[in-house]
Parts: sequence; C-alpha cells; structure tokens
Amino acid sequence: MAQPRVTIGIVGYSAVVDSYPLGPKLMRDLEAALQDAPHVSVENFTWSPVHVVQRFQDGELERPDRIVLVGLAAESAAPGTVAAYRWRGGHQPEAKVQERVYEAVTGIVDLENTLMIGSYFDVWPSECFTVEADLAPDTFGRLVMAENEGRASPEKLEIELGYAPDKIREKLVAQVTTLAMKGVDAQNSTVTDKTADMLCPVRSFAETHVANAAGG
Amino acid sequence: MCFENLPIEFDDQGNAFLKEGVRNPYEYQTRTLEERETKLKELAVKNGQLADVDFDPVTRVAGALAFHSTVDLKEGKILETNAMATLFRGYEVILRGRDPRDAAFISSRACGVCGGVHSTASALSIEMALGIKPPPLGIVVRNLLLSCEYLYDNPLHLFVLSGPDFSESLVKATNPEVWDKAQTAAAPGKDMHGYETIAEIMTDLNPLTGKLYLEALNMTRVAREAYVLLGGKYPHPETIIPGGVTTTITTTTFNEFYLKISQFFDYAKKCVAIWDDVFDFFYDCDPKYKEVGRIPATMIDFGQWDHEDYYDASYENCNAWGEKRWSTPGVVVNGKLVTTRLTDINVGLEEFVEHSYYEKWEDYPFKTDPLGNPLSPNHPWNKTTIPRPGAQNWKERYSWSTTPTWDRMTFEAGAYARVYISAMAQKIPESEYFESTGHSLKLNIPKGEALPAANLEWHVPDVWNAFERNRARAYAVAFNLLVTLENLVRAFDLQKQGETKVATPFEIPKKGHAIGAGFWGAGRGFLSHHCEIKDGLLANYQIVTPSTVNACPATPWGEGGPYERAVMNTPIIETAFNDEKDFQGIDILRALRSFDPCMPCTTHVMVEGSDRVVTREVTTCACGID
Repeated sequence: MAQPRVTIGIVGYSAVVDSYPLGPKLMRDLEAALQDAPHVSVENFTWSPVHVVQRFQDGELERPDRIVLVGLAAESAAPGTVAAYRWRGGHQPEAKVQERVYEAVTGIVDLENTLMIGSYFDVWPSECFTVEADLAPDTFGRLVMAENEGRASPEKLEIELGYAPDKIREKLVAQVTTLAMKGVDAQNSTVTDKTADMLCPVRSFAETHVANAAGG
Repeated sequence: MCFENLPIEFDDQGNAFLKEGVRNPYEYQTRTLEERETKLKELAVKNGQLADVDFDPVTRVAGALAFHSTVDLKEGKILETNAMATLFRGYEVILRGRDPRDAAFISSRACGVCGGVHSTASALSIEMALGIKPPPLGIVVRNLLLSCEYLYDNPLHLFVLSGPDFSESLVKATNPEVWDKAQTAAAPGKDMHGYETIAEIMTDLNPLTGKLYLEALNMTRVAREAYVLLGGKYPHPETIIPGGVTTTITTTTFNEFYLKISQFFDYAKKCVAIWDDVFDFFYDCDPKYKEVGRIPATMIDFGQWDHEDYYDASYENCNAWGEKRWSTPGVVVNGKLVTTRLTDINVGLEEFVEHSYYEKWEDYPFKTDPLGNPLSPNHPWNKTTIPRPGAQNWKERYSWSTTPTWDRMTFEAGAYARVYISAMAQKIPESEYFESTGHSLKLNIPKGEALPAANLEWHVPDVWNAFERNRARAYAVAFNLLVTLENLVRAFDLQKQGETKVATPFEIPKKGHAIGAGFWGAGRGFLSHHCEIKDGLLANYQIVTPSTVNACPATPWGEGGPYERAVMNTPIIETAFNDEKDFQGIDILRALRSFDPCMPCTTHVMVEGSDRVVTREVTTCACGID
C-alpha cells in the first residue's frame, strides 16, 4: 500500500536563537527524526500565510494527504506544555478572516492565521493537525538576553523559564513525528479537535496574549 | 527663504544661519491641552449625543496604532482626536554602542513589511559618515530593489488594506445610498480596467472574494519575487550594505527581473483607472467627501532612487545629488513648494517628546551640521532616546511616537509626497518615461500584455484629502514602475560598458568622530536614519519613520499630528446608523487609512532601566484611557 504524502509545516522562527523551541533546530531535529520516511517532507512555513497558500495554489508545493503544522500556541495558558489538535475546519465570518489576511500580508507569521487562511482558501487536506508549544509571551526575549549575556545553559534556562526549552522541542518532535507517520491512527485523547470557532481572535498587537489575564 | 517659524536665514551662497538678535532661537512655549478638555465637557453637557469612538487597531498592519476620537453624532462632527503608538521601538537604544556594520541588518528589523528601506537608509547614513561612494551598478541595483518594495507596498495598500473601505460590502453597510448610485454610475476608465459601472468595481474590491483584492495579493508576490531575484531574500535582505550591494548579478538576472516587472505594465494603468473612477464617483455622489481627511498639503519627502552619475554619499554635495534623484526631495507647505534642498529639510527637522513616553535629553553636541548650518537641540543628531513608560493621559503623555516637525510644523509623509513634490519641482533628470511639469507628473507606460501604451498625467489637486492621498498613491505605482524601467535600462548599459562592480570595500576607522544621515523613503514615505560614529562604534542612532511623522501626538504648542488634524476635519457622512452602537466610523477610518499607517515601525522592544534591552509586549489599550 502506498504511503500517504505528508507535509510538516513549521510555522516557527527560522532565523532566531537555537535555544528557542521553535527556532532553526526544530527543523533540523525533525528532518533527522524522519530521515527514513521519504514520504514525509518538512517545510518551512515561516512565511506570510498568504504566501503559504499561494505556494500550494501555484503547485510549488504538492498538496499532501496529511499535514501537520507546528508552531506557537496563540494563547499562553500553561507555559512549557505541548498540545496537539486535529483541525476540523469550520467557518469564521469573512470580516474575521480579513483581519487575519491583513496581518498576513503585513509580515505577521502566526499558526492560527495560517490555519484559518489555508482553510478559507481550501488548501488543507482532511487530515490536518497542529502541534502547538505553549510559551509565555516573553520567552523569546528572555532567551535572546540569556544568550547575549552568556547564561544560556539548559540548566540556567530551565530555572529562568520554569521549564526546559530543549524538552519542549523534544516533545514537539515526538508529537509531530507520531502524527506525521500515523495520522488519524495516532489520534487519541491527547489529540483534541480544533475548529474555527475555537481560534483566538485577532487582537491588538499591544495586547499580551495570556489566558485569563486581566484585559488579555 | 523657506523658514517661516524657525529664526533661520540664508546668505547669498545659500548657507543657513541663525537670525541675529534672537536670544533663544529654538525656544518654544508649551501649552497644555486642558482648554480643549473643558470645551468638550461643556459640549457634553449641552448635547447628549457625544460618543467616544476607539479604533484599536486601526492599522491593518499588526495593530500597534490606536486612535481615540470623540464624535458628535447628532451634528456629524468630530470633536477630539488622539493618535497613539502603543508600543515602543527601541532600535535607537539597541544600536547604540554597536559596530556601524550592524546597523543595516539590525535596523531592517524595525519593520517586517519594509525592512529593505531601513537597510538602505542605514547604509546611506554610514556611507555619509565614512565617505563611502558605491559603484554605479551598486547604486542602480539598490534603486531596483527599492522599486520592488514600493511595488509591493502601494498596491497592497490600495487594494488589500485601504481598498475594502470602498468595497461593496463596506459601502452597502455604511452608505446604502452611495451603493444605489454606484449601480448605475458608468465607469469612465472601462477601456483600461474593463468595468462597466462603479458598482462592479466595488464588488471586486470586496475583501477575500473580490477579483481586484485577490489580484493585488498576487501582484505583491510578483514584486517580492522580483526583489528576491536581485536581493536574495525578503524580508530583511542581507545584500544591502554600506558601499552598495553584495549580490552577484548577470544579464540573465536582469532579464528575469524584467519579466517580473513587465507584469506591472498593465497593472499600473489599471490601478490608476480604477481609483480615478472610484474617487471621482464619490465626489459626484456627495461633495462633502472632499472634506474627509482634509488638511492643508504640507508634506516632506527626501526623494529616492539616486542617480549613479551624481550620488557621492557626501553631506557637502547632498543638495546637488539630492536634486538629481529620480524623485525629487522637497518640502511643500500649504501646497507651495518651499525647497528641494536636502540640507534645508535636514536643518528644519526637530523631534519633540512632550506628549510621548520619553524623557527630554540635555545634550546638545551638534550646534551645526557639517556645513555650518544651524541645528536645533531637538534635531535627530542631537537627540537621545530615553524611554519613560508611564500612565496614559491625553493631556500629557499618550504615545510612543515622538512628534517630528519641520520649521515647527507637523507635516505629512507618504508615497503621495513623492509624486506631489516631483511633479512640482521640475527637477527630475530627463527620462523618456516621466516628466515633471511644475503642476503635474506625466507618465508614459509601455504596452503591456493586454493594454496599449498609455500616457497618464497626475495633476496637483485643488484639495488635499483622504481621496487625493490614495489617488496619488495609485499614480505612485506607475511612477515606481517607470523609475524601475529607467534604472533597469541603466543597469543593462552599465553591464555593457563592463561596469560590474556592485560594492565599494571600506573599513571602519578605529579612531575619529563622524556623523551621517540616510535620507530615504519607505513605501509609506519619509524615512531618515541619523548616525553618529565615535571611535569605530555607533555613539548615537536615530530613526524617523513615516508612521512616526503621520501618527505623531500633538506638538508641545498644541498642534495636532497629521492623523489627528485630518480626522478632526472629517465630516460624518456615514448614514446607516442609529446610535453609537451601530456607528462604524467609516469616514474616520478612510481618513486615517489614507495615510497608509504602519505602526510596526514604532514597535517591538521595550527597555528596562537605561540601556538594557528586553523583548516584551506592552499591554496598552486606548479604550477607557484617561
């Protein structure tokens, strides 16, 4: 039986520090973990979601049978955790999709925008998953500062953040690899459904995205 | 004599000096905004129809601009406006103490949309400070890269960011009577764009589904692909450096570039025809639309696209090479062109922080520029960025944007300023593609795939408002395209002559003191990078972006920034509302968006303490502000 064509799309930050769980090391680790799986391609989706859609529409990227998008959770509720979802699609009012496109065309890279815009333009296969790292909003800044100030050892970072960024990346790789290889067969109680009405609304860039915080 | 407010005069050689006998030439009176507050309270007592309307975000570009206005819905008037940049841009602080070679790469991050223009402004600034003159092909390639950024930005704004404000879905919801008229209104530019009626155009401006909207998304991709052919990558190109560019270019590269750019031949004609038709229709519908966003035409642009025969990077010769740019530098005050000299623009610049979250600085290291022209203590070369986060208060401090002024006036920046000033100045070097007449800009666009060659002409408008800003922006697409063609021809010619060098090597002197400025422009207009280099490191670095210029808070003496003044003058023409609950504020938004706001230019980093840099998001919101 032919293997399904699988794409892993990293909506990450390919040009940042290695210690950032969604940084360049994630791609290298995923490629290494999947080196014996030629039917799985690991793609950098750190682009405007409109560009991601255009790559599929123009045939630059082959439409896969299964896709796993990996990126940052839109809202931080439990920093240091990783969650997986099966995308069940659904509709958002066009005005809400427009808000995501406005962000997309002006430089915002965002997992949920990619998910919704891709869904609107119908580029996702029915087997579409997301694997999301929950990182506090200031994680990147802290990691950059730690690196600049020479205190970026795993132990020190774990103390500073309350979790080890390396471990987050390992969890991401494990979860993404499992979903890429097994798809719906791997779906269990830890992979919950996600639909359009569950996406975080687009908010002012100035608002901190922390769940349950006052005014958040 | 171009200065009316600053006490600056000129000798016979055109050198500026401070008027004699003026004791404190740069003194100014501060005025609190409390008078306005009292008036508003009185009005509120008389009239229960006052509504506070907050738009946050308004930018459709990452949303770091909030706008507060108080509207009298009964009278259809706007009574109070405040523009607020909600996040701090810390690039001035980040760059302090760094190697000057880092500046282009780091300052590029000031914006994810137009990083390349920051790289270039930075490169120009370092070139001026260190006396680095790029080779001709390096200058021309830099011009081509700039054009690609504009060809991305301007159509994006016209059809994706601002266009929806004129679409069927918005017009039906806010002014159904306008939609009714649109259905029978013939579109005069049918031969160019193919639409019979204005309503058909409006339908295709609908976001997500409209053909014009989707076409614009596609064209932005073409522009980016053209950029990448020459610049390697986008955003944040690493090929732009002081001294030129680092890219290897062959004739094949230029041929491929031409294939991309030629897709804009017909598109540029269409842009102009579409927006001419839509805006003329709105005026016909209701002459009050001429008042939307109306303020006197006071704007500045540094000019862009250096001419390889003239640009030598020096401040000493900047008036000569500036006036040979393919778009002309200049200052327009109340519709009158008062100068085209870069030194005049530079000398008149000041930045104020009375209504911003910054401390006032004490240093005044440069009393004059390198030519001896006087400089204000508030000039960017004298400014120190000292952030002071605090409570928001419309009477005191309410923005992370500073207040840039020229000759003590706030002014506008935009793609339209490039067109406006170039049209008036009659200084553009000779080209078969465009010509400045003193009152218009003639544009000769070649034949495209479907449309014949076209001669377009943008005329300096009688009124300056939201519609004219966007109309000029549509013509700017054509102007950009033609400057691109001019430079591409020059690139081919240089290659034929064996001129293949694209960069001039240089070293950073370990000792010495120098200053430089990058006088340039983003897709959204005016952009300056001022640097000071001391003993091999950046001692100071100051950036003024177009959105800082347009979205600035009030001056210390109480003059509102361009957004604030433009919205204050805007009548409420929206009809489909009963009260503040279903009031959409479309006229306010049209006025604001006509400036093409882009506040990532003023965001991203917050400083804790003095010079420590930490990336944090700042929780601010215009709603409920004092």
